[in-house]
Amino acid sequence: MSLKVDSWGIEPQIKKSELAKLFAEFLPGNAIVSEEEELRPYECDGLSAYRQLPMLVVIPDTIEQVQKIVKICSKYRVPVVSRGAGTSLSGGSLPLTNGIVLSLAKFNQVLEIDTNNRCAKVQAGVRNLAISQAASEYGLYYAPDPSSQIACSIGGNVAENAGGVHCLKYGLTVHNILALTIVTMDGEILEVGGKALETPGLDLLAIFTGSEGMLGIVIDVTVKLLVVPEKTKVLMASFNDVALAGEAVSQVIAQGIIPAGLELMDKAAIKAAEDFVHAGYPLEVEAILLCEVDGSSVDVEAQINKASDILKQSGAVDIQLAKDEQQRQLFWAGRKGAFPAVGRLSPDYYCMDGTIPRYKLGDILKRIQDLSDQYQLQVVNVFHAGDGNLHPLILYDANNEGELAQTEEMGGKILTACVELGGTITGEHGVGVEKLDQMCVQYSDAERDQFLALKIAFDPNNLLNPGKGIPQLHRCAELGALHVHHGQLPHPELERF
Amino acid sequence: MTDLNKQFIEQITQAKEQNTSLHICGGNSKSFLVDIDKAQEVDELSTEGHSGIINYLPSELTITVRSGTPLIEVQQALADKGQMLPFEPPMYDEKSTIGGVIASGLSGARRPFSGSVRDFVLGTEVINGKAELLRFGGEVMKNVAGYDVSRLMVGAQGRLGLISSVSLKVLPVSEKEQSIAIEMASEQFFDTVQQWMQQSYPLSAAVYYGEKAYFRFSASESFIEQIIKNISSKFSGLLSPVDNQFWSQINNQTHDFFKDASNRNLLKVLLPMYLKEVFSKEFAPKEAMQIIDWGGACRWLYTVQSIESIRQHAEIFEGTAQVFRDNGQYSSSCVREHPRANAIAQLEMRIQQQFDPQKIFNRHYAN
Repeated sequence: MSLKVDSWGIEPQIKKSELAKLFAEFLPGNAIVSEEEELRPYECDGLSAYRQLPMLVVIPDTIEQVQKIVKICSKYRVPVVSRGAGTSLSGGSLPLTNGIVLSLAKFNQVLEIDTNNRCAKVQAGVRNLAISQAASEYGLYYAPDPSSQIACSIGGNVAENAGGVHCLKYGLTVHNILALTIVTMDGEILEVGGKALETPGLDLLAIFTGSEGMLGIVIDVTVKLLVVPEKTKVLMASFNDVALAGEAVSQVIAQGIIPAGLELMDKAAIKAAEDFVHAGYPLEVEAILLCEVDGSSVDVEAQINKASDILKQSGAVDIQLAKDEQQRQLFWAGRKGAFPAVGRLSPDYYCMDGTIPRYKLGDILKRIQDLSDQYQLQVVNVFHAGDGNLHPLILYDANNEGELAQTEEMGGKILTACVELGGTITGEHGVGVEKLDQMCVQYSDAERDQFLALKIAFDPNNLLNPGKGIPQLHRCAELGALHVHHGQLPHPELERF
Repeated sequence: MTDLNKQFIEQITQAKEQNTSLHICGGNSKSFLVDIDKAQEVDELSTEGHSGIINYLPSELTITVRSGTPLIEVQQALADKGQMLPFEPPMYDEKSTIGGVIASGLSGARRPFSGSVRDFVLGTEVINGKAELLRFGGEVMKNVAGYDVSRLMVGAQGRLGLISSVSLKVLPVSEKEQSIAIEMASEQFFDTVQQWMQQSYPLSAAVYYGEKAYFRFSASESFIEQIIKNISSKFSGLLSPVDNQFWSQINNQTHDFFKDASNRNLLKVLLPMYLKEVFSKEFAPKEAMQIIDWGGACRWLYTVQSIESIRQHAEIFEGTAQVFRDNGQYSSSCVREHPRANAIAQLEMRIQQQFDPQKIFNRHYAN
């Protein structure tokens, strides 16, 4: 498998053994990983198709150690890839062969829960779900809930601006954090934001969120906590046509209901999930919508009835209201278990993450189906329908020669279709190494250049996760050369190699 | 419905070539927020006429608007479809434009309960100091491709470029909104807000002023009825109805309290929501006057204390103090905005440099 990381021509000015020796001056032996078999667990993240070993892995447990590590790396031009739980689906924490991995695993403490201001200060390595667990005794929780929430860390959530099934109502990570402590590549500490709702100046909190570890290293995060809603109800609506289910989503929202979650699964996803968790999903229908409403008892009753009426009018052939909490959990277990369920159908699958305006759902489904027919690769569709965020899963077998390459090509075309329909190449998984080529489709040269320029303001020597997130201009030029329009070669000024 | 991007690009290109500076302005309703270095010569870059709603899809909860569009027009278009800008931006003047709303980043009384301007920005189209027209984000709810430059534009006061258009997420207006006032002490106000938020009361504004707490609820009619019934029995005899207009008086600073701003300095102090009397005693002794907004998280304050001492105290609680309306008393001796840590200030300058290397935009802004 050829790697897609852009090379920035960074040559470390130090040998691995000498670097390890410098780290050993302030890190205990077990915080420096250098042997190949010990480095192996770090060779990839959740996008396991790409693997490579870093020079070293360091596992500090104090902010001072992090500062010292990056200062040494700055001095000797060693790239740094920070890593939380390694659950990124876009290769965001894929190691670089000429760099180190800086693991935040030991930053695992919940530092403070401020019940009066409903926020918690937690270290970057704390798991997403652990925050809600720690806050639960106060009747509070942390809203963003990516499906990897059992494992993924809050630092990684910030790096990717993680979402989840409840972001339609409660927003993404960027909407749910108040402050960050950051270590910059020159070892400086930045305190960004605070417990007050706003701070003056540029919105650095927003720019760090979703920056994929390319601007700074997140050390701790102050997250907002929400009051656990008094009541939560979920209903499952069945449709004989996926596009009709998509239209129903728009109808619900157009009529003033903002569900806490609004998820769509197609027939193949329903079957896979049902076989896996026995959630009680109907197997004969083409699509189901899970619509969750939360809030006060009075409001929830009124809204769930209204939603039910709208869904019926929009063509739902059956509507089931979860009769109790146990059934509600079961309905969600099917949805949240959809990915592993699909994993049982096929030796490998490739999870896409495009976003489109909701009303284009029918169009994108048609485009995906056409591509599936063309490439002879089956697609299972799971959507955060309320947000217009698609997760088509392309099923393939990596053991069949060329099938992964075909899958990637098809996936790329799905993302291009998302952009053409007014959407984006990634809703919540990030660009990482995976979608660098599609960045050339979504953004113009000047826009990508502005991104690269912005990075220089934070990391002038390009040592933080270099090669990820934003493609270099020549990469897009080379890609563009494959698609010459009207005989005009894009970027004639650039060298081609 | 005119698009003036071409004209803007020409003007910025010319400024670049001649190394002059441009003063970006919309409706000029918030020009009091910045101090101007009068020694700097600037040409005006006005967004007036660059107006119109480009795309409004009520079922998508999104609207895309040219920056020179008057805020009042945007609000009217949304109201016609039963929707709103959830951050309740202030309108100090009817000429206020949506571009100014984004560039200033100011939110109103609903902010602590619904979110701020930047929380609802989905995408922006900007022209940077190199005269390049750039689009970031889009009209979709989720987009993590590239850095979140759209949100970086919020509150940047035009220092990173000219906002040409913006895409915003909007929300439906609640079935009902009802406001009440309750006579209570300020300490009790903080406790009441806490208690009601813990109980998930549908608060959409909470203000304390003149020994009264003012609350607005936004929810279904039946839920509000139930809430008001609960509150009435608890605060029997202390409750009075309030016209919903009260909130625009607070947001737009037309309330009587703000009349004093013509001869005193009005401070905006941002703090964690729940600080109770600690801050009140330090900063609002008898001679001071304040409106406690945002459920406690924002204080509008007239005080005789020095801005430095207010800032020192605010910092203890991770807060900041800004001279919001200045009558010449402060500007010569101190900065209007709360000073940032050196590392942050340096970083902001480097970011600005990457968007506007020649410092074409708003070069004449002091600080």
